[in-house]
Amino acid sequence: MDPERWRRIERIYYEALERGADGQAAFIDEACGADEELRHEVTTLISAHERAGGFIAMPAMELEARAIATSNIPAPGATTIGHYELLSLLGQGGMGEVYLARDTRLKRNVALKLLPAAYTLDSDRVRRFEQEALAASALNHPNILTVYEIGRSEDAYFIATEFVDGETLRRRLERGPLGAREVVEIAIQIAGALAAAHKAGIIHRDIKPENIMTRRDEIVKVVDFGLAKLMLPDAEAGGGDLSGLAGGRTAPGVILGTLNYMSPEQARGSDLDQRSDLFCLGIVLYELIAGRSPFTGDTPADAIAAILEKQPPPLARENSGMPPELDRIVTKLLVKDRECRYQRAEVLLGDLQRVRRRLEFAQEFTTTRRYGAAEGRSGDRTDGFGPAWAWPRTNKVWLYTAAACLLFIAIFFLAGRPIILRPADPQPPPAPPAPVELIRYFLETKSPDGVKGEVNGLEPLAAGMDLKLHFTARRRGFLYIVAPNEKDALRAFLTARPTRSWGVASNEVIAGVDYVFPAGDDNWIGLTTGALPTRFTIVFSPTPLSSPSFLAAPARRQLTPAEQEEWEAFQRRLDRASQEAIAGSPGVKVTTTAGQTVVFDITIKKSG
Amino acid sequence: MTELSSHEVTQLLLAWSDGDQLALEKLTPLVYAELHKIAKRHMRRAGENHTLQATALVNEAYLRLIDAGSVRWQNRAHFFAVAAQLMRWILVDFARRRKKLKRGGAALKVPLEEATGVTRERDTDLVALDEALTNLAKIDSRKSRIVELRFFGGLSVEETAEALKISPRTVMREWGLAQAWLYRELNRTEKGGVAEDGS
Repeated sequence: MDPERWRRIERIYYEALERGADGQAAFIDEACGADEELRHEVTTLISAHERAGGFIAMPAMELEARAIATSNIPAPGATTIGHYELLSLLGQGGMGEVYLARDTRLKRNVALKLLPAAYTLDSDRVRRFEQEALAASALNHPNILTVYEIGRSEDAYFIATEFVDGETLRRRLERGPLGAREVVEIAIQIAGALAAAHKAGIIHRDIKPENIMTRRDEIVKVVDFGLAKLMLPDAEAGGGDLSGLAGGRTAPGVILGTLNYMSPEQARGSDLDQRSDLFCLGIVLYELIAGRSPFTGDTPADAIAAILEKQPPPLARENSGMPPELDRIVTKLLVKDRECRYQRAEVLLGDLQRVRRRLEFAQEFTTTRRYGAAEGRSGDRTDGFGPAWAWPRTNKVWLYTAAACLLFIAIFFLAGRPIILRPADPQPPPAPPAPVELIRYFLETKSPDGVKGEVNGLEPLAAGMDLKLHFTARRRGFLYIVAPNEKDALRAFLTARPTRSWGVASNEVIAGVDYVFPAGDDNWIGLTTGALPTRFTIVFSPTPLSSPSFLAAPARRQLTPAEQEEWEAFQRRLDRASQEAIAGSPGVKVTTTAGQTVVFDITIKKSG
Repeated sequence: MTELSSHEVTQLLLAWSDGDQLALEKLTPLVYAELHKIAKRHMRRAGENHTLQATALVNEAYLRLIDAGSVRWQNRAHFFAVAAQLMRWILVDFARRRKKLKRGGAALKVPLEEATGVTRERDTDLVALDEALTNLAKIDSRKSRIVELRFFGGLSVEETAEALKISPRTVMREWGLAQAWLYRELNRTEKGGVAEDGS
């Protein structure tokens, strides 16, 4: 309904009610005239008013309270297991259901896994599993999921663990393969977890993307240590369904684990050791890089045959952007004969750390060169943060030249320098901190004739454009925008609002959400009247800022000279983030090596 | 609050108001569980045959769930807007599930007043009301917000006026029209006319 008409209905309705029963009909006749539709609207509303009788006068909560109190609906939160209150279902798998639950004694949220009854009939076995799971947890390793309790309530065994706010690698993989740096970061953390566990004599036995979680802050957690052992079929029962496929061997030649994430020794039904975990990690890393599993088959038998005999296609062919060292590491993890594989997770860890250093070094190197070329086509990645991690995928000649230069520089620094300068120093010089992506932004533009576009903001802009700024932060933080007023003299403080939000403006931004300034479809920054160039100063902070004082109490007003001075001094104390355009995308990437509160400018230049 | 800190809920609520849908997923079961407990306790206290003290119930829920004194709320209006929106979401969700269970999933329209006089308890169809309210928002968003704050948020006329920065008189007037509009909308027959139930 058009607003004008609705206002008219409203006016007549109010006035008709005020007249009371006597003059009402005559007034409506007069007000509506020949407009029958209008009359119908008004009279039906008045009739509804008479019959409604305050039908929503009682708050909804009260109406529903009785139903809520007496309800037997399996509502989330209504069920408890022991002293855990189940809040919501997080996931379901072969190993049972996992709930987000509340520990009512310790008042903390946990992940509660309910084990399928079939695996918990043998209490000795449960006890052995419990020992191993708790032992792994007791290692107190940051990359091993902490187990709080393994318990039993009535008929169900459960495992209460720390709750990880993140996603499994399986979920992550659904968005496509990962960049080199991301793979290396994840691999280092898994290798660290395995090194600690293996040292304590604990084997995971079921390393696969489902059992590795990445938290929002990029901490990786390996989950379910020892759980696979619980699922080992009874020797007496003649092995699992799959044993026949691997040559019909029975106890102790039984197979467990997920078919695609098996080591050759596992497929043969031999005993597993720490090197089996390393093979499975190799499969996971291959999949992260290539986006698909190295060993596949149409039938379980084919898949097992592939694990036992087939060499997976070289990674370089699957993902040309991968550094060759990473390819070599994965190949060495996937060696069929475990005697020739990586023998220890610590050795793998060392190799991975070397790759990381080299990647960081390469990034430093490219930062000083033309970034656009180094970014290549990585802007087409779907996670929105690809280029921060991605190895350049195109411009191979340039890449090889750069790699050769790097190698030379690396040799000079790592080998040459200690000999020349300080022969006794066994440590290579620390690599400079790698730039970390903070935020990205782009400008949404609207031309005088209403045509919308997106630009990266580093390029000059045609005159007469209207603007909006779009920000997507890499991590949670607080975003402050200080912008010039029309005269480009004093500044006004403004806040951003997320595009999808209906709430009141806030400076807090959540990772991965698009925040737009100014909010609202009709609000644009008009540059037609303002003097160009125009500068927006952006402050991004991990914590809310209370000074300069005007940052804490957002106000659209001009700053006083004293505030202006405070603002200038504040900016001088901050680190300046660097920015570069993202090739193939309208975005600009803002990076920092400082990691604390940083500041950067978005300057609008006029073309021509 | 015994089970979870109001601070935690406030954090989630703020995240949700900033557009984080995951926060709502975490929030719903927490708030629902708390409402369940509060409602149960009030039922016991009030006895089966008495109406619950609505204001007490609503206030207790807010006090227990939400850290209203948190400095991060920009003002009372912000707090109430978010809280009322959350209550709407949770109560309608509950009603939807209850309805589904009761009617075996069939989407039947429930008359607002069932056989007047037989029972004093009215079976307001929150699910349909929620839909109607969404439609009202399209033609008149302020009236829809008044209903949200008053009906779902449990606010008084004065509190609603304060939250929306309008006079209590305007709240009264618009609340009346919004009720009439919703009532008409909910009692429309399939043919588009208004049912004359004669009650």
